[in-house]
Amino acid sequence: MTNSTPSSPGQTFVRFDLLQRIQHIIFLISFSVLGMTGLPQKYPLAWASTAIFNLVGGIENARAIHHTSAIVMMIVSLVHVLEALYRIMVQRTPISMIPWIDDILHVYQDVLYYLGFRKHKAYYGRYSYAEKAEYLALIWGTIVMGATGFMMWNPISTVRFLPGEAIPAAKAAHGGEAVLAVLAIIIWHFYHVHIKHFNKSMFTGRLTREEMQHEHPAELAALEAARPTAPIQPAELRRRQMLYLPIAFILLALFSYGFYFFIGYETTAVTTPLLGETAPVYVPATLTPSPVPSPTATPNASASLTWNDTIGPLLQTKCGMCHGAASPTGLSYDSYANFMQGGKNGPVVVAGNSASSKIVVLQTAGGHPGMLSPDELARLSEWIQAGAPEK
Amino acid sequence: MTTPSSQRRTIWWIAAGMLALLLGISLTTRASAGQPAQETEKYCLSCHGNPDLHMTLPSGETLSLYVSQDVIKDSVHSPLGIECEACHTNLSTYPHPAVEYQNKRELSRALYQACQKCHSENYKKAQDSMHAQAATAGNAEAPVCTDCHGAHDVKIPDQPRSLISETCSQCHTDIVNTYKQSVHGEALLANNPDVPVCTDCHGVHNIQDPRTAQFRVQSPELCAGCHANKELMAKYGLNADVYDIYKRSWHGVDISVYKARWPTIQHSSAVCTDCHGIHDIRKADDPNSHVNPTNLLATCQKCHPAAGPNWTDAWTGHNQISLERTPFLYYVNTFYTSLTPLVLWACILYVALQIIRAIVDRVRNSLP
Repeated sequence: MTNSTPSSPGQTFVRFDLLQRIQHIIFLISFSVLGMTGLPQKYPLAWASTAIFNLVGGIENARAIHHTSAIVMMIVSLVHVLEALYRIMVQRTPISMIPWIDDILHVYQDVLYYLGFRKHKAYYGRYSYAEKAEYLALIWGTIVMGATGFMMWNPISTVRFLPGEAIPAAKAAHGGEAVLAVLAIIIWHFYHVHIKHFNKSMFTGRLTREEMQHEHPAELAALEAARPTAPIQPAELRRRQMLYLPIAFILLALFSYGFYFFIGYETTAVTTPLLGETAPVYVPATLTPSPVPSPTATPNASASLTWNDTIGPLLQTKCGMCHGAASPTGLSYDSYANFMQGGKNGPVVVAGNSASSKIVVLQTAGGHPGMLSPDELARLSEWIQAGAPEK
Repeated sequence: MTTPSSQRRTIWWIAAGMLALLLGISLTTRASAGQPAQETEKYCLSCHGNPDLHMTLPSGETLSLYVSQDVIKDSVHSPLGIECEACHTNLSTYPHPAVEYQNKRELSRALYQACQKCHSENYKKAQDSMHAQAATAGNAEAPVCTDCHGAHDVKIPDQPRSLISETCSQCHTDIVNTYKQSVHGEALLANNPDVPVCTDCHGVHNIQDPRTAQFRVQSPELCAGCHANKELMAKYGLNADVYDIYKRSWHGVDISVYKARWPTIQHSSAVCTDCHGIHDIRKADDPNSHVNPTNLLATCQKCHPAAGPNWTDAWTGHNQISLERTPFLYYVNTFYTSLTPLVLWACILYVALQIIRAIVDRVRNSLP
């Protein structure tokens, strides 16, 4: 980072080393994937959300991808913490990312410039206030998203220690921060880094002198004015590294445990129970029994076996509904005379010969809509056999 | 009971019945369509008015052939002049053709097909129902028109409205008994016309299997039919926002996505009935309600078995964010709803300022 020789216009300046560039690429990929799988969960029925769910094969897959990307982002964040710590503790690099009073002054100067009251922009140092603001927003956002994401990923464990309301609050914060971060990137980052002037240093690692003059004139001046600094003595470097290593190790252990916790802790948050109606579905009521034929009294054995006493009442009760005055075949049992006379198909009784009597034949064969009981039929046959007396 | 041979026989009988019916329709349409009043009732009842009239079917069952004059008189059909022969199209004269049915059920399953003569729409719908599917699968007990509506005693099915539940309870006794103790069932028995009866949720003739993934995922909308109706809910002091807020909740998001895209895939995210109960829904302040504060945790634990006592407060699914009810959530939400526009507008203005300046500079430089 030191540069003692006089600068030439074609000269380039190292801005980001390889590790920083790798961090940026992985972070931007995980950020984009998180946004693309997270926002559809916030707005699930928007057409774009539906398209993304279709693309990844469902909201569960979107969630799984979201979780995976979150882990990737956390690992990049850990690398960044360890790296920043190394720069600060071992290399003693100036902390150039933290906003300072200069930055407020620069904002003021720039506003005046944009409004036309100043001839030139503020002279930025290594990082401009726009870059510092974005870096701080990223740190704040990563912490908020990580914490609230953890709470939503492991809600049951979370409410062991926090009130239940923490979960919906985490959801509100996670969604709110997501919208803020994505839109801020689109408006602020895209304008400053891609539109205003496509700054490729995050991918190439270098800025030309001309770019430095435009973007970081104060840094360029400082670099060109600086005297060469002596490299750190090996013994001093070792001492600082020995101090750094245990701290880094503890951080690494804590983070690793945190990741393990994040991924594997709560695997039983949701079971898939048998949902739905469990009551027996088909339980027929005890139905009202259908009407069954009322039992007919056995013919009075002691009564005399005549039409008037026994057979007439029997036939009128059992058969009279059809074979009454309005009989369809004209065969009516309402009087002895009508019964003996028969219907339009002829008489049904041959007095003295029950076997030849049609009524006995039909009743014995069965299948007639109205049927006498075997007992009743026996009495009827006996009566016919006896000459079918009226009285 | 449902051996392949008996199934085949059933199908054969149904087919034979259909054929006979078609024949009957073609022969009698002219007579019955033009003049509904047939005056066959008096003639038929001269025999069938006899309470003792019966026959024995080959199965050994006794089939009563008695039709009560009183029952006929109270039915919907007889007073309109739709008499015996309208349905019993093959029984216009005496002696009748031989009865070919082996048992009573076979007879019912054949005779009900007469209903489609006049009620073809509902008849077709019923053929798509899960009851018809059960019959196709060989269950002869699956209900046909007459099992619910009656045969000679057909009445208007919802006079009174509680008659509908009574009808279903002929076969679904347990469920209807449970329903009668629910907030809806109790109100129904108190003659409240607003509450749902069985058919409001399950449909009438084309009743579908309520245990399918599709029914499940659509069920919240079913509840919303009433519970998102502001006017109706105001009448009972209920919150009509519950469905809208549910749709944005943990459970509701997944259900909405599945309903829109994968309605036939089973999803276990909770729907209304998973928490509130199905036929046993009660008011939330009823001690027996699944969502009563004293029972709520147990209800959550059905799906979240490890949930602890704080868990129930994580559910804010039916309430708008409010300072009184959920202050912490309120502050977090207010923070983001204020911060986000503030930051974004500041960004937009600052970027716009730069763009304007850049354009002005460019124009100026291009001038001679």
